[in-house]
Amino acid sequence: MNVVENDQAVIVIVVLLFSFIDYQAARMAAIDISPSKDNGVLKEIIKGGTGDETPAAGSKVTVHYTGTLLDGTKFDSSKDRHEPFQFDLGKGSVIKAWDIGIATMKKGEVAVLTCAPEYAYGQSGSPPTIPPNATLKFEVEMIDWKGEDLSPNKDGSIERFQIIPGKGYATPKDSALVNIHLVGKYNDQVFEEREVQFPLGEGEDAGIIEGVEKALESFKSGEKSRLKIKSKYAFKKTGKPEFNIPPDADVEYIVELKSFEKGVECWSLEAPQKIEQAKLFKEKGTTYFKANKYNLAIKMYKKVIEFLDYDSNYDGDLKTERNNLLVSAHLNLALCYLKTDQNVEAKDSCNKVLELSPKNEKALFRRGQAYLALASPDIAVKDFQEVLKLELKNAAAAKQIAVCNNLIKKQLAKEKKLYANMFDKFAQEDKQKEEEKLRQQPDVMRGALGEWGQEERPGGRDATAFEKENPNILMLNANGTGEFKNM
Amino acid sequence: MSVCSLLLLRKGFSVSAMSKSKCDKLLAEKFIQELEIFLKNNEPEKALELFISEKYAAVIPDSSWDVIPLVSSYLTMTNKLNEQPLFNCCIRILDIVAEKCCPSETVLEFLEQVECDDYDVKFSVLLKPLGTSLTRMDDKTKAIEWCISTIRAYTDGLPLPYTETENNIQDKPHIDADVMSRRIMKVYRNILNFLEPLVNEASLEKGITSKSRNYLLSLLLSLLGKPFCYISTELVDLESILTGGGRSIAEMIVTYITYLTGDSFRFLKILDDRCNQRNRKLIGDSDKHESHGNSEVNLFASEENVSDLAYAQFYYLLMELESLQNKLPRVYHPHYLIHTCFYLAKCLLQKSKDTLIRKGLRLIQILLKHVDKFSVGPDALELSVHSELFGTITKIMVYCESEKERHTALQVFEDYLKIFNLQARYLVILHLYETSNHTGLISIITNAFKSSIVMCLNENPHNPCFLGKKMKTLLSRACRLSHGSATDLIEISDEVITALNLLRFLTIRDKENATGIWDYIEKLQTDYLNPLRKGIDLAHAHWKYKIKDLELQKKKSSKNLNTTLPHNAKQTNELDDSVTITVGGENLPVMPISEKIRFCEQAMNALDVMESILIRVNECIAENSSTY
Repeated sequence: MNVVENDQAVIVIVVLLFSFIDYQAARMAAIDISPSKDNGVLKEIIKGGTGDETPAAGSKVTVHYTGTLLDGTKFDSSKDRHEPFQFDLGKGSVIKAWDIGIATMKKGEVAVLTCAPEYAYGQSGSPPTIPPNATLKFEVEMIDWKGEDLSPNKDGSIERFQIIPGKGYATPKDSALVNIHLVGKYNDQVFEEREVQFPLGEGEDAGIIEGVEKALESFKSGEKSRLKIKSKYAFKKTGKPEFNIPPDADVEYIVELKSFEKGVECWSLEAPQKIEQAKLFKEKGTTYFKANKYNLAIKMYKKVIEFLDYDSNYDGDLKTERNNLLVSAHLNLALCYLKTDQNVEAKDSCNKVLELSPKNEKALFRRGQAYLALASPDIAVKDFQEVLKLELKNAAAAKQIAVCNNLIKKQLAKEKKLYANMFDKFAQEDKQKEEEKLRQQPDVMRGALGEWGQEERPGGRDATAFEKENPNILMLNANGTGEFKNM
Repeated sequence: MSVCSLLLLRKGFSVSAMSKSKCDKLLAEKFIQELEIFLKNNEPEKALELFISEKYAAVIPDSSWDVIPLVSSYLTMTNKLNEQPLFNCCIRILDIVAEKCCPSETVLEFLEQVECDDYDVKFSVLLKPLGTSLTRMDDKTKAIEWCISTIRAYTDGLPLPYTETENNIQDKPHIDADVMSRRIMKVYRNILNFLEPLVNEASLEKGITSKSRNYLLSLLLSLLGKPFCYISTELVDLESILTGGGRSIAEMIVTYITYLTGDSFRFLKILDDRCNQRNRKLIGDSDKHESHGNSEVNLFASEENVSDLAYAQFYYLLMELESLQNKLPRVYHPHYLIHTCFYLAKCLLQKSKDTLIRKGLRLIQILLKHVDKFSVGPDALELSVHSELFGTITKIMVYCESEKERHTALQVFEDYLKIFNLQARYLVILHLYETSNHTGLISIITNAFKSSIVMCLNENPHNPCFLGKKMKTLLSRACRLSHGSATDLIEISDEVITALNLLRFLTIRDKENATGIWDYIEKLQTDYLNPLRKGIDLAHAHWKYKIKDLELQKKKSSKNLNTTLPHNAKQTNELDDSVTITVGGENLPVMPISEKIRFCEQAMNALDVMESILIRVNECIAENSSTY
């Protein structure tokens, strides 16, 4: 038994040794191309390519490849499937080793990439063909590549060339606010350069051509790219005389996506990013407000608050920034509510502000307005007086106080008139009505189906005088037994 | 539309061709008349003889446009059942027509007959001669396009095995669903038999560029959607055994797809666009919209052609079927696969149909096997797919009717959490606390929280992701009594017990205050432990009283039963209800008193468990608090 086990052990060692030697051999001939120089991706050129150009990030690359394990087992080959393999370079759609390795290849080049597990399928492997922690070898032949085509019909009318890749995963969704810097070129002449902010899909208002908008759908945060756009997605058949762009002209843009609104995924963000998002919403709200779209503005300000209220872990500067933003969001919200005559909500928003900053004049003023609109000039006036206390020269507040006082006076006068003799009148009317009602009610004491019948009365006693007058009330111990029955 | 207009053209053409010889025309008329009479009088041998004998050999090649509609009209269910010879003769005639007549004409005429069919009888019969005609054509690209659109329309029109609204599913007996499923599978078998030669001809192995390849691919993908995806896997497997034990329909479809594309994952890019809503329509395209109707982009990207459900079923099968594993490219990044396929899994899980839920969960399970633990970072959470998927999985864990699926969902949930690194896990757990309100679920989340703290403490130096302020944030959510001491503790007993266990763990394990728990303990005491103490006492008293009441009632009712006449039984029943048990504001359903007492005892038991851990936690705090 022992001998057999020993034999097996020797075999295992020999196999390991061989694979190690194999690996070493690969290392010798190959160059380490991993960015951190940890021998994660080794490249050995079998056949040189033509020219100097290598594919840029985002290019659609066409290759043929055969992948083997270190023991020579073939686990995958595009040749067996009779079709070259295509993918978008630098997008994280393929294993890391490929995104690194293929970007260094020239047209026609054939190379072997030796990929450490951390750059391939890691601890999990790719069941069932690739075992855990496997080093993989790929023989890759670079056939060709194209610029990245973002046009909807893949006809090459919007091409992207990345200059700086973006961060993260998210891309702007429809109607998300985007913050971009763009440089427009026609025939190598710059015709516009500006910073602009607009909701994706409404770019036309901001003078943004369709092609740029379409491309932005695929931009990540911080990305800077050159876009080549055909006229049908640019200035079309009309051209753009103020930019000296003739009809049917193809243009070029360099666009940088500085920041954008990230939809509902606020939970995935750290505090500073949340503030960034909140700011975007605030600006969006202000734009809507200026355009008199109050309901949309309200929505946006609510988003600001949602982002900032979610988690209260803010420190130092961030905390003051957050509070300032919250204050202005609530203030603006109050204003929108006033404009749309939602005065209770307006009042509540002002209260929120005053919680954060108790002496906020605007909040006091707007709360006063809300109370005024809610027909409570007596409460409103206090707010306006408070404003005056804080700022002696506030003419608007003084004016509002006058309005309030006037109203209060009027109200008092009206009330006086209204309430004069009223109580006597009402009392009489009420009494008549009640008697009428009583007469109309059936005499429940007569039938067995009344509210409280004879048999239900504790002890089967007769109704007391009080009970007769008040058929809905049942005296529990009117017969003086002192027994209290739980009902 | 285009089929019809072309058909009209053809008709005009063949009529004029016939008129060139009057003699031929007369002969042809006679031929049709005789055929009509023989079929009408149910004389199949004579009808068939017309096609076999030499007499009309000259006119048959030009007669398809009269013969096909005439003969097809006899392909009915009644004839199939009652007039077998006539029915078979019609099939034979159509075969002959397909072999002898001009194929570009017959294809159109067969297709037209398929279109106006109400039973699958006609459809199944016509596919065969249609195939024969196609093989005789030289350039069949256009014809294949028409066939495909006809098949697509036909399968779209098939009824679903279940009605789509949830409520109706249970009302319908299962047999009905089975019958419907079998019908769908029969149609699919016929379609696959018809497609087989076309797929082989267009396959990559043949090495030529084929124009039909993308059309076939698009059709095959769409076949996996409605109604086929609603049929349970068991039924599909059973069908393959019954039809000779070959590959199942599902496996055949996916295998055919792998014949036609080298990279089965290439459609993931489309899904990436779909789940990130990159579907802006541009004005620049509007003028040319029609011409792009059948472009490659449209064949796969348009939801009308290939729905999310179809893609979901495709990727589920692709990953699940063993025979296909060596056909998958092994260069894709596992994160890319999960981000796109999780979107599909979500689509399946949202359908609230057991079959689809099972497939969705299985798809996630397989995908998770490819992803390393701790490999997904917080930036990936920017993608909405994660929060959506967590939402649907937790919903299934809590509300799914099938217990098996609930368990699988729980397993999937736990495995899913494992792929995130601690930084991302913190965000996920925080998010889950914010969105969950089911006590069992909160208890599970608290458990995940606890194991994450352990992981942080086990790292050297400690990983801060779940410690200090962050722990405090999560603790405030784990230890929460929404109404202070008046909270219904029995309703939330699960989460309370787990939360207390967590606190006990922290106070025992963390003597050095590595987690920062001791800076927070005072607040915990005032906000949680003390109200909890009070709450337990209150609840104790409450349930004790309930038990007393119930026992009293039991005695009474048993006395009543012994002494009173049977007609008073109703009264005792009413008495049963007079002591109600309320948990979380909802009355428990009517049950016998003994059951009620048992429930109360369970409640007392839970309170005892809470109390004992609470005492232990307080002890641990007292022991250590002197140090802090």
